[in-house]
Amino acid sequence: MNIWKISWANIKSKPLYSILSVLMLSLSIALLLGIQQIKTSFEYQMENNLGDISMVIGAKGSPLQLVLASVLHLDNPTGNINYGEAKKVTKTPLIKKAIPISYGDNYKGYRIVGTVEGFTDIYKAEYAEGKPFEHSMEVVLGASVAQLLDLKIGDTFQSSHGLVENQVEVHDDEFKVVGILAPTQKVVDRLIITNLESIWDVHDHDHDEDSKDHKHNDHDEHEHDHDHDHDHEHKEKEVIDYDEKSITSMLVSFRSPTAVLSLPRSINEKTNMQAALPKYELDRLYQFTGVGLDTITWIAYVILVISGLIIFISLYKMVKDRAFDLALLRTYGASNGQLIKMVTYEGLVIVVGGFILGLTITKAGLYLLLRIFENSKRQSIIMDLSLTEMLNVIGLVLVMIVLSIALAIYPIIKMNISTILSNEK
Amino acid sequence: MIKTESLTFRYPKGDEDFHFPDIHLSSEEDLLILGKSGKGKTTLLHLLAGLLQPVSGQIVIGETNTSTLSARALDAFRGRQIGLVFQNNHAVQSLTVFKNLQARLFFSKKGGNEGTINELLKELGLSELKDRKTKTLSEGQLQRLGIAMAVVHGPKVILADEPTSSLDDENCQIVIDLLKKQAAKNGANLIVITHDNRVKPFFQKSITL
Repeated sequence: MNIWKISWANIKSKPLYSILSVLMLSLSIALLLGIQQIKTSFEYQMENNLGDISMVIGAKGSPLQLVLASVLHLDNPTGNINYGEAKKVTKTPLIKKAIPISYGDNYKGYRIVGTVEGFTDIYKAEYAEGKPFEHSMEVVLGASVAQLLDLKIGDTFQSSHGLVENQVEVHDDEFKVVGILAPTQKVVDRLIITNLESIWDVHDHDHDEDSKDHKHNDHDEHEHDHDHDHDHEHKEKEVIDYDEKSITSMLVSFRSPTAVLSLPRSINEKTNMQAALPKYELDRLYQFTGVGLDTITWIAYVILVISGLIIFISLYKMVKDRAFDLALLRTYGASNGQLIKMVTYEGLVIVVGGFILGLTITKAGLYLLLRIFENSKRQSIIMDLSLTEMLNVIGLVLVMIVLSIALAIYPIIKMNISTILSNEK
Repeated sequence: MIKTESLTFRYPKGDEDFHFPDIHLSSEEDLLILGKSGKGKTTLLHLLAGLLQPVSGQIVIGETNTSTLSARALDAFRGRQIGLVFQNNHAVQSLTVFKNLQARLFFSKKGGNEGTINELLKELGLSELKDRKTKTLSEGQLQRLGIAMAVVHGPKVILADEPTSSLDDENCQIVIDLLKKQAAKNGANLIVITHDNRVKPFFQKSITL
């Protein structure tokens, strides 16, 4: 026999209160940890994906949309811009690097990005297998793409038009996998990268055929391309005039931070393109999403306070209801300290139970969320929570618990055994 | 051996002093304390048990003057040397009969083993009930458990507060018999306070407050 056993018997003798306390506590812990984790992951993910992109140049439209499409590869692009024009504005000593990207196709929902070799450097992505693309129609896969689609070096596939998977507009040309990147936890994991020519080639060929069937029905969008179709219909080997081609956007990194003051404004005012600053646009986005997360965080705090109250009520009720039991234990020779220990142990069992269940719920919940995200966003975004943040939450919960227990055992200290025992009759 | 000398007590918010007659019991002597309600019967019992400390006077149990002990030392002394029997509540509700007795031994720090408990349960006719929660027991069974709780650790003094008031005649006699037998077996003094006249014939020595 020891004090633990008595505490345990007390807990078992009031299962409803005990289970309720554990559930409430675990729920608040799970919510607090979960929110922290999502918030950290979300922000980390955003920051991380910026790499060293300080500015995006694209077609006029919503700057947030341009950033989401070109940097995070989430939204649809705002439109196309002329490659030559984009190159011209980025040819300034203020700019260290300008990487063009061009969209158009997807394979099973994964975007195929036409770009140049420097693209992988933005994300410091290493090659797990194979080599960079050299020729048109060669592709390098992000780690998640290769894993989820089970593609290997040498495999081929046909892309479909647009950014969403569809069976109708499948192109004839076959892409060939020549390289696979190592996982980076960044956006590049869910991209298929190829050179700019591949994107142009696929669409040029298609439009050759399309133009026969559809005449010029969809000429507004691809008018520019059509001109070229006719140009090199019969002269495949001719050198392509890159500058007249379209790209989706240009990812720019500045050489000096002062560029941020002059460049975006001059591009926005003097050209028919727009320049957006990813950092600024994403900060704006946090402000919107932050409100939602803050609300849930407050709800979690409220639940934490309520669970603290339930633990307090449960222990206090035990102390009050069992005043006679406690007085009896004193007549058995138990000291005040031993009684306090007993009640504290009861509180601790609830706390430990709450923590274990809470952590389990967090892990399970995030695992589930992760699965959903991997399917919809095609990228793992959940980060492990840092120890400091975890300790912050745990510390907060402990303060709450200690307070509840301290309040609950106060009557024990004040207890007058003689009075309690005399009042039994 | 119990000796009290000019004991007085006053409740912190009370306006009258209780003055108690001196008690002198040699070892194994029993005492019945009678008196109407409000005369301080329970107060005297709690003084003897060390649950209250007297305003003046002294209590000597065996070799120990309990009125000079610190609160903590008094807890320990009570755990080892005193056995208390109450009218109604006899044991901790969340524990079984057996576990209550184990807890009693644990807090008394006197050791004792399962054999001691089993033997005692047998003597009191509680063997069958040892794994039952105390709230499932009848009044008579509970009172016998109360006795077990008061004697399992081999105390020097057994103090009983109205142990028979809620019992019928038959159980009343059983309980008094058991108390006297257990006190004799442990070589302990038995002090019973009551207003129950049925108890009177069983005691040679009595005082009235």
